Amino acid sequence: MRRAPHPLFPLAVIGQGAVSPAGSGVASLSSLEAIQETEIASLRRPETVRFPVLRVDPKLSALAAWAREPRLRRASPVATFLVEAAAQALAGWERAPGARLGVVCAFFSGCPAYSRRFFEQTIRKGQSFASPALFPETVYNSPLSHLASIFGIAGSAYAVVGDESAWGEALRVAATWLALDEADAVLVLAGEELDLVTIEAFAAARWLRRGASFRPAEGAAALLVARGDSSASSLVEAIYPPRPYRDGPTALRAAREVFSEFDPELPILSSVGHSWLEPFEAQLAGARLEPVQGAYLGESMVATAGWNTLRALRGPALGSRLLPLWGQNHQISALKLSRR
Amino acid sequence: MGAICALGPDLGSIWPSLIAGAEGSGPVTAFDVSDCRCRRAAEADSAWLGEVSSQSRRWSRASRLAIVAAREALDQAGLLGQPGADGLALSVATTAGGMLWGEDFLRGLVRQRGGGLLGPIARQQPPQQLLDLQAALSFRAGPTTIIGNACASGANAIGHAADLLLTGQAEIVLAGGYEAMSELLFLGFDCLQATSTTTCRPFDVGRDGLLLGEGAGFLVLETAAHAARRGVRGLASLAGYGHATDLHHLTQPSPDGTALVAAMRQAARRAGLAPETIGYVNAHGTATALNDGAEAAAYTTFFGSEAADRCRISSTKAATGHTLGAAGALEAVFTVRALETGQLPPQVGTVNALPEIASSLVSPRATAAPGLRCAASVNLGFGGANAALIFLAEDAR
Repeated sequence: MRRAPHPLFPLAVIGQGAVSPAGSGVASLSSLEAIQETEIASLRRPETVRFPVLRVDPKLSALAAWAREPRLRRASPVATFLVEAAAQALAGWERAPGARLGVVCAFFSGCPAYSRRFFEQTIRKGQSFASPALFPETVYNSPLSHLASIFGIAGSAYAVVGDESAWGEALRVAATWLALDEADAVLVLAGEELDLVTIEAFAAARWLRRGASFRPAEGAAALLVARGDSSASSLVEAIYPPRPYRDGPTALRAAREVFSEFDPELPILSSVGHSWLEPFEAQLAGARLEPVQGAYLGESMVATAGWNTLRALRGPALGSRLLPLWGQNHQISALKLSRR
Repeated sequence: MGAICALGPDLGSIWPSLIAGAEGSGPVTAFDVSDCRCRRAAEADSAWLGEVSSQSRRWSRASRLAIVAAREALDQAGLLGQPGADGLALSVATTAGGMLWGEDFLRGLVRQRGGGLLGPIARQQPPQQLLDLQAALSFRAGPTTIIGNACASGANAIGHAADLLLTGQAEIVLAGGYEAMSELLFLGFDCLQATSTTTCRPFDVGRDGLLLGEGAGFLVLETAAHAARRGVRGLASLAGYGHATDLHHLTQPSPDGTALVAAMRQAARRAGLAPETIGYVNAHGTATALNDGAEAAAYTTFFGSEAADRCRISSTKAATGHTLGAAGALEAVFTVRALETGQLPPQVGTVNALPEIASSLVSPRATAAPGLRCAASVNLGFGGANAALIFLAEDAR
């Protein structure tokens, strides 16, 4: 196999899309209006425990329009979030005949709604109640399959799995395909859906607890990227190598290693939200920390990393910025982004 | 390279069994299957997973399978316990790596167990299993990519590792896949009636479904320059990688195998090789009605009917079981070993082969392939994922 004929970076951002608790469309991410919280009853103690969460409004007209799409009739909610975000990102792209489009989608929890329904049914009622309609939708790449079918993407398609750092890995996959000339443009996506099982997991891990500001959230983000040149107004200039960690002390060490590679002149965008890593951000970024534009959207893992990227690329300031990807589960990395 | 599956705890024990036509099928022991159609699977012996220590007690079965195979691969590459392993990029596949934890967590919720008991489980995700792997094998990884492309993931992870080398993002990568037997997955395939209630018979006219398995496969991929600097000789070279998406259906391949043909053509193009160069294909061959027909059609299209007769083909899933996210990696390991040894895994289980592929299937009585220089491993998965890897014997580069 031949070596890459093109450099990995920069990546030009040529399309953007978002679905979040703030609404549909990238502009909604910058709204300063606080998002209305909703409550979900605990699966374990439904009478006494309710969890505050930030959900995507299921009545959004942009989402309702996809209800007629055959591939989405039985799909998990995250599939619809992703398809809508992808449609926004592709809307302005004039696809040349024969242009090769790839797609890579980052997930943290995949399709927990169907996984939980499928397995809970077998626990409560017995193995013979396993549903063949639900099982195929439990697979990580099933939303990606629906999306590829709807947009006719028959080439490269990966689902990548991980915490917020997986958004950086998805962008790295896109950069790799473009550098190798295996695609002309790549749709990079991130999506999460809320389900009782993930909310209970956040509570059991004590991320979601009484008095904490952490709010589970759901939605999707999309970037359409191509090989960059000087004419592009929004660029991904670099992805810093992720550093693994196992616990609090090693997470701080990993973050220090990532930050040590940063250009000392560049501002650092606040992206840690209200995760358990929040104290590290202030400690390491200090006076270089800049807020991102918009209200708190909650913790939606890979989707949050995507929303922060979109906000950084649409913020009022020109120039380059560093965006840490504060993975809450295993890795920390960062992006260098610029607006011209 | 390293491997573990129902046939053995390392490649040294698996390979002779595979060549001898052994089958790893046995009664399911991991969970109760009394209400299932199918009651057999290809499980790895728990005794092969190492002693349970205070550290390994919290590791899942999936982690422990991955550790065994990765240890063997790192050891063969001269990296186990060596400083050179630090910073090693990881490109890894799983379809349900964290599912055993997920099952325990959901059972705990349904049975209203205390939150304190569930906390340690809640943090477990597939990436945590790769941290287990690093802890067990005493290295700290560099960039880690986990690919979840269903049953093609393992081949994708190896292909992605090669892409990292070709773009200068890494000089050496530990790539592979792992999967443990999971009740959710077993029930899923069982309720789809995709599992065999008789014998797994890939490419057989009367095939009635797959045999689920578990295992792991890992390979160390590095640039030739890096290998030369370390003074190590490669086992084979990865010459081509292709991947494509089947838009036909979420779980059913297009009957003409279009996406698999596209993946194989891309791999051949990147390798700079004509289809007739390929002497052996380790096929996906699940023994489900829809997969094997589409796959056979794809081989006829890709090779042409005459070349298809010359190329030899076998699916190792009747022996190892279908190891899902590990399958592509495990089968890539077998493909490389075929190039090293000039022996081909026979097609076991099959009695009455599909006519379009019958002459290509490797007979248990004719496993020798002394002139083999080029071989491919292909995989298909739910969601339309298709991937193809083409390897060259080390002396054929």
